[in-house]
Amino acid sequence: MSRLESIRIAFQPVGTRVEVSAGSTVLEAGREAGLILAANCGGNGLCGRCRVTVLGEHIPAPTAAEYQALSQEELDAGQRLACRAHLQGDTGVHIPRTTLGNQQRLQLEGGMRRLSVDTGVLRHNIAPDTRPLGVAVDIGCTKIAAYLLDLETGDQLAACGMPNPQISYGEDLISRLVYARKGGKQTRELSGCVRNGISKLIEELLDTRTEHASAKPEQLADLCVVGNTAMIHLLLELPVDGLLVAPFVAASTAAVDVRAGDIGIDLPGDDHIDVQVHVLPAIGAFVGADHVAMILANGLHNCGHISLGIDIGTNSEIALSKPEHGLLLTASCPAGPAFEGGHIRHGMRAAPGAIEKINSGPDGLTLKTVGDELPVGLCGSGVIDAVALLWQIGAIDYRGHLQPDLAGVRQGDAGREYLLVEAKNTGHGKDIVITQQDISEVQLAKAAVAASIRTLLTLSNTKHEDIDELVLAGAFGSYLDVDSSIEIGLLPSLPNATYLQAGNAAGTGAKMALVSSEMRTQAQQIARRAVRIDLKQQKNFNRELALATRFPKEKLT
Amino acid sequence: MLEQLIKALAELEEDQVLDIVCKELAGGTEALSILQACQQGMAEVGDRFEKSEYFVSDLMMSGEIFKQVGELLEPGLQSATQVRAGAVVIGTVQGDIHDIGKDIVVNMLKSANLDVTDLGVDVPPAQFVEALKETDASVLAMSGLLTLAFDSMQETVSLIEAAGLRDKVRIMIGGGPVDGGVCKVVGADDWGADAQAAVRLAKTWLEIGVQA
Repeated sequence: MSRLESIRIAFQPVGTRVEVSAGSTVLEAGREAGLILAANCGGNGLCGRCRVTVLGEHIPAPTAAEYQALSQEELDAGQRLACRAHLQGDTGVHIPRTTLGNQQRLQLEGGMRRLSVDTGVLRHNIAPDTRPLGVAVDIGCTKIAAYLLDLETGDQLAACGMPNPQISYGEDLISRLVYARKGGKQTRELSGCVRNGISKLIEELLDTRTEHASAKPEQLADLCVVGNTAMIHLLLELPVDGLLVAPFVAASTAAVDVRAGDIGIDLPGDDHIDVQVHVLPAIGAFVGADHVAMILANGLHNCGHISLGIDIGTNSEIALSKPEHGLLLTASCPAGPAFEGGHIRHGMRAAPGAIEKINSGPDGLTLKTVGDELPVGLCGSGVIDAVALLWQIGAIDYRGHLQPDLAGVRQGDAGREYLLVEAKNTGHGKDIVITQQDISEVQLAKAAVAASIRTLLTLSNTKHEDIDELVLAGAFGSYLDVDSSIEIGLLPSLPNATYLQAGNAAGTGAKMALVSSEMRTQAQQIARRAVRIDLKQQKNFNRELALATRFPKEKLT
Repeated sequence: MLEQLIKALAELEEDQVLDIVCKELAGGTEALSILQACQQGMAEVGDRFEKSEYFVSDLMMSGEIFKQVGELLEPGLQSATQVRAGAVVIGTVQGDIHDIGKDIVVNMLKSANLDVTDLGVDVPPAQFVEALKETDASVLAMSGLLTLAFDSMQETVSLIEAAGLRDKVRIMIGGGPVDGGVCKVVGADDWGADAQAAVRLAKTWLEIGVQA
């Protein structure tokens, strides 16, 4: 049997990548990647349900079944049936939601690929004949996520998460740091929050696993931790003063190897003094180990093409990688809370009843809410969709101003507003509106991200058409609608790029580094090679920012 | 034509504004009269902001346009004798680097025909004192968004006292979390919730007619 060439397939918008042998169908590649595609007829080309769009140069010629199921126009646009389309080269495949089924929540787990395990990292401080287990931890400002892995196979055995217990010390990072800065006792309180949180999660992971199979505390051999620089400082009780004032310097960005007991992480059971904790290195005060893990997880540093990696949040981090030039630029920009539904009149977290998606069709608006409940507000992705809608229908001009003469626009108690959902159709019997002030908040937030991207591109002399891939990481980046984001100018329109929504990529990176010493080395290289760009020092940044608050004059059709 | 310029600036149409300014300059109009038209346009932007018709993004844009105009007019203005309504020293205090709000205030003050010395960001207390001595300004505006910036503000006020300048200078502070309480702790004379408020304060202190 001749050895088949292997090809790389990138699925969007889920952000999963897989290597398969040339000639595999999209359906096979999808299965390999752990995606469940609708194939009602069992993949026999009969039901026409498994529609996908093949992107790039290697679009396979349509088969008879595809001529039957799809119109010429659809075929010309690259649409194929996943079960019929045999892929012959590296390509991107867009899976519409109708074909994918409801996988959105799953992807928050991060990549579903197999992790490459190299045992160099395993310390086997555990009894022989015992299966070593490890835990990967991602500490975020709002959430801590933890994953239990089999260190020999790389298989994920359990996952769980909890709100960061530090939230009681302040929703935002700065107020927590200000508290921690007060001194020994206060620092230890905040450190204790994270440590206890991690201890609890590990216990929960072992319990969860034990429901299916045995997982004993004494099997634990290794922990791998990522998080933003401030969270890691608090975990390790490093002084946080430098993170609070210009020029914003971290006490340490180095990778750390310690024993769990030494940093106060209590583990269930006895005799755990030798469980090792590896903390991935950071790049700077605002570009942390979580960003390094994101770069690692998506291979931005060594993938061989030009890519942008963006984690959008209250503080957004951006990486631009041009591997052939050995260039890896990173920057952080404060986008504010608008993307999390904060500072938005009817904004809310992604809780039941939050509008998360808005589609406009000939029959009016279709709203998708969390839990399919009657709408009561908008979460971040819904806010983006709403503003994109206003721009699309001409309810706002390119400066973002609501147009008074347009249907739906009215005078509210605090200026103009657009009536999105009438009271009779909402869950709480009150109108849901987008106010002019909301639009302004979104403009400022999107401008921060857009101007940062633009500045990195300008600095590195990169054109939009040069970019092969744009990876969106993090919870918000996973849920936002890419088209809406491009429409309002939050994300650049990149003619040759694949847009990937990679879920919790930081968690994936932590898992990769947990089971592989090679990955830990690569993380070190990323942190060392990455050049931190201080956007504020760039002469034209504020002008870019002002310009980026506007809406792109060329609308998408 | 200058009427059009005022309108174009008020509407934040940068291309139009710059186009008109260039044409006016080429046609021999005094740089100073062009500047005055632009100041009127900026005042209109400020009014619309107060009426909640314009928002922070619009102020940012107006500031950028005004800056561009300033560059075009600079050669012509150097020869003209500008009668300034007063002098203001402004900066983001030590330990803080937020400059968007500060820059908006700078441009609004400039468009109000004030002589503005902008010290930039992360400005040490001593530099503020130095600048107050040099410019003989009677108004100091300090900006800071981080709560830690309040310490710097306080320190600056103390240093101004120590330098014997406190009686000659009215001090205002501004920035996201700034309020009356902060103002009191810091020892400033007043505070502004937004850029327009800062301009109003400066005008009141300098006894320039405050527009209704």
